Amino acid sequence: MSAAAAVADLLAGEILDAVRTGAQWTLAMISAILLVYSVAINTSYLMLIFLATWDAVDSHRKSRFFSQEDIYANPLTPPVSVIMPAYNEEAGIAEAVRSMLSMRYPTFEVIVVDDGSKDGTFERLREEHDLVELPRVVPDDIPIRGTVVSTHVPANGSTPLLVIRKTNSGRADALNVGINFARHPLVCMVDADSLLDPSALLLVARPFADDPLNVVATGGVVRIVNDCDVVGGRVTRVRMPRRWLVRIQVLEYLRAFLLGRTGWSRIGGLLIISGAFGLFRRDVLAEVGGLDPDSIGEDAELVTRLHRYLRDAKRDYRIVFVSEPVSWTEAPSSRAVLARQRRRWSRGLAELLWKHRGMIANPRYGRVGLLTLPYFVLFELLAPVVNLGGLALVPIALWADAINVPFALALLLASYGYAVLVGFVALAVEEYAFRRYNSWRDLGVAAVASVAENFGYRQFNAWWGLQGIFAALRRTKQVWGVMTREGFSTPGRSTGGNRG
Amino acid sequence: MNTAQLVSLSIAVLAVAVVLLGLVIVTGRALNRQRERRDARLSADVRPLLMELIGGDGGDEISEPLLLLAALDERVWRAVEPSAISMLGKVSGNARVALVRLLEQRGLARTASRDLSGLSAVRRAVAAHVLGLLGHAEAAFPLVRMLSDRNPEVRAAAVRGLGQVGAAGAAGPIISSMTGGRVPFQLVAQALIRLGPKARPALVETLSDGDPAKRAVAVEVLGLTGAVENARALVDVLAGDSSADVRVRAARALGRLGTPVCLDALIHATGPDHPHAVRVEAASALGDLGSPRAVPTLQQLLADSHYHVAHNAARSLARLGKPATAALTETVAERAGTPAASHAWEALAIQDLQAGRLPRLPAPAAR
Amino acid sequence: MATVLVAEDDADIRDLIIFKLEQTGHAVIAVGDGLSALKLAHEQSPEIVLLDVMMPGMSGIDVCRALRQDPETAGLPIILLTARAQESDVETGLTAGADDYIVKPFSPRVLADRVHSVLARTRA
Repeated sequence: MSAAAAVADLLAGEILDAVRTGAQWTLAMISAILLVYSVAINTSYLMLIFLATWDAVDSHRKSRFFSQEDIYANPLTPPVSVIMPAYNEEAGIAEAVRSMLSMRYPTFEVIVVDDGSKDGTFERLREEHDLVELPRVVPDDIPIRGTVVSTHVPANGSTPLLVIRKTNSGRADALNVGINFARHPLVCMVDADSLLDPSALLLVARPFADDPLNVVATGGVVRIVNDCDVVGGRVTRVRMPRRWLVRIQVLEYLRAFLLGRTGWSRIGGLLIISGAFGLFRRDVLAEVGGLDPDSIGEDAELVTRLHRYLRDAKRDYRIVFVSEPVSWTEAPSSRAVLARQRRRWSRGLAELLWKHRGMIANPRYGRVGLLTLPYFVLFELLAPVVNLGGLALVPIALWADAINVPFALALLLASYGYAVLVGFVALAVEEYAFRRYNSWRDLGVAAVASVAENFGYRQFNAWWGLQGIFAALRRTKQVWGVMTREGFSTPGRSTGGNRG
Repeated sequence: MNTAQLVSLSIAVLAVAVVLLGLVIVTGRALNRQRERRDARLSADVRPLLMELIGGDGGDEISEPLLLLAALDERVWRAVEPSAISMLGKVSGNARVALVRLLEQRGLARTASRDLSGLSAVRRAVAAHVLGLLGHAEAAFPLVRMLSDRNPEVRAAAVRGLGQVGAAGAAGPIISSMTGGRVPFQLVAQALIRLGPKARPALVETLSDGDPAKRAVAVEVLGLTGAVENARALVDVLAGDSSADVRVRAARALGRLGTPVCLDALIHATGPDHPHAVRVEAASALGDLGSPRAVPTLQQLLADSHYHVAHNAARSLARLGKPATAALTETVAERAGTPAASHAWEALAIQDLQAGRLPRLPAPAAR
Repeated sequence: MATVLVAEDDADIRDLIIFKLEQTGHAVIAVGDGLSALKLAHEQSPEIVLLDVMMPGMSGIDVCRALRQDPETAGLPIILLTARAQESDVETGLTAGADDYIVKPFSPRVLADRVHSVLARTRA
């Protein structure tokens, strides 16, 4: 062996060593970042929950002196147009409209937009309400894509119902048509398959009555109806769902939708109002051009655009989340349907953040720009990436000796143990402030579900989230998850799950 | 301490925290249920007395339960007190009289007046609430003071209480309390409506206030309480207020008041030099007002380029009966093919619908 | 005298109504929510139903509508209890098939009289 070869060998060895040290160092760094990230994300949940609790305590106190009767009996409670888009909803539409019409609210109208259904959606309504055709001039506040075919009202001339038939053009466009036809200053968007508590509208309208010059939008709580008792379009008894997949979603809704949004609302940075239950000022909707039919997460996109528009116009405004009024919705009970839903959510978020990237970290947009949007990028959009990345990386880092076992445990603890703690805190707040689940058994189930969430469900969720982000990157044609539903109703029997 | 120790410590802390939270949840629920049961037990014996007092019909019948309840031991009374207070707002007539007498005898008004300056915000709010429900005129002054309380619930309770007490001089302070959104708009409006005509001078004065929210409240309340003699002041608001929102509300108020002055002002407000929102509301208010003199104006508005102006004009015409029907038929015939004719057609269809003359749809062909 | 079914979620008012109606000689079945009212209306066959409009879950209006739709209970006299004289409440209530309504705050005596007169009217 020549001397040169020996030197080369030695050098190669050193390079290898350097590479190995470099790799180890990088892995260790990434692991450290993962640790910080996990602690930060869970702490942020905890903070949102604390903010929400504060809010819940307030409204709890308020409800001792101010009953719903006050809002109901107040002549200044603004009239509401409820818009319900419907596409192939023949199974549940009659029940949905009936329960909507018996909502408790001083003055309101219900506008059903039949978005070119191919089934008996319209027939059901025609039979039930004895509809006659009332020709209407089609309003043009918000540009629309579909064509209005005909407009119908009940023959008795007094039931405040309007049924619009139009060619199919998607949910967002259907809602825009409804907004155009709405007669009242407030517009409430609901899904045909969600059930509202009878007083939900009163409660969600209250911020408008309290502060009419500033409030532009309010959103309500969405809870999961699977396996609850439903009679006559009302949820009469709340139960934990039978399947673990849905039980975990109950906890997830509680943490993310109820407490998370209440928290954001408390600090004036609310970004998402669920499409299943939101109330908006009609004139402001018309000014911003309604919902974006090209957006896949049109509800969140609308609220973001409202923030942007009102900030640009330098107007004082408030967007409020109300933690009491409840809209009940059916959650996916099969993995395939859940996967489609989550891919869509994550893709919608990615596209929304891209569309409004100019607002991110922009001081001009106040708390939404500086706090909410960066938070959503870091902790909502990127969470699946970090979550799965960490899952793949930790074993490698352990194997490569970049981290030791205690550190790996610390990581697990920060991301999973802490998450369980957050889940329990959320549960405690639910127990203290809302108390919707009454039996001891439901409480036990909830506790187990908040632990079980971390094993399997979370990883799948992250995977679907990742797929959604990729779909957004590829800008594939938007494909909506199809959910086939059974109708609600049938007295004495609970609702069935979805067959997706 | 090394990493391993730190990790095991954190695990321990976490486990303890989770277990503690679990315990808090479970004991919280258990305690809550126990308290409910205890309250139910305590009040079980006394509740029938309370019901007898409220459900009796005045006169001698009430004296016995009244005496017994008034003499109750403080601990037992506390179990029924919340019921007694909440019933106060829910019953009327003799039942209310009997209840007020009981609460007086138990010294509730006195306690409430004392609690108004207490440290606990909840106590102050309850006190304001009770004083309002009892409706004593002498409570007005302390309640006015509570309008500047630092707690929003207390301020809200004070505003509502003042409305219930009905002191004329309270209108000004109630309106001032709105500054900076410190008291909810709708509560102020409701309190002022309760005060009725007594509040009018203060309301008219507010019409020239610098705060649009205050002007908005004043306009709405004047309209809702039928302040016909103040119509002219509202006409000025409709014509020249700096806030479009306030002008919209003025249009609505004038439609409710419905005097000839209102009619002229509303007709004028549909003109092209007014903001869009004001014209839309004026077109609709002319329908509320219900005078056939508005027909020619409304007929012209059918051809307006803004959908909502034309639409509201059509809806108003549909409400104005025969003279409007003629105008609508004329528009349909003479302006055939224009949007004006379509709006008129829609209004005629509404009239047909109201008269039950709208044809049913043909049944769909069998699938 | 008659069997009266009362549905009212506010325990105070419920107890007051029970007291007043029993005092005037009726037999009272009382429940705290709409669903139970619907169930008992079938099982106990009361002669008249008193429904509070504002109840969690099924509202009084919901129950009223459901009772009217079922041929078995379609003829049952129904009185609604509603807050203040809110026109729309009264209107929806009467459209849903109620025979009469009582406005809160109410006088217990008026309530008893109303039950009496609705019974007299429907029995006639």
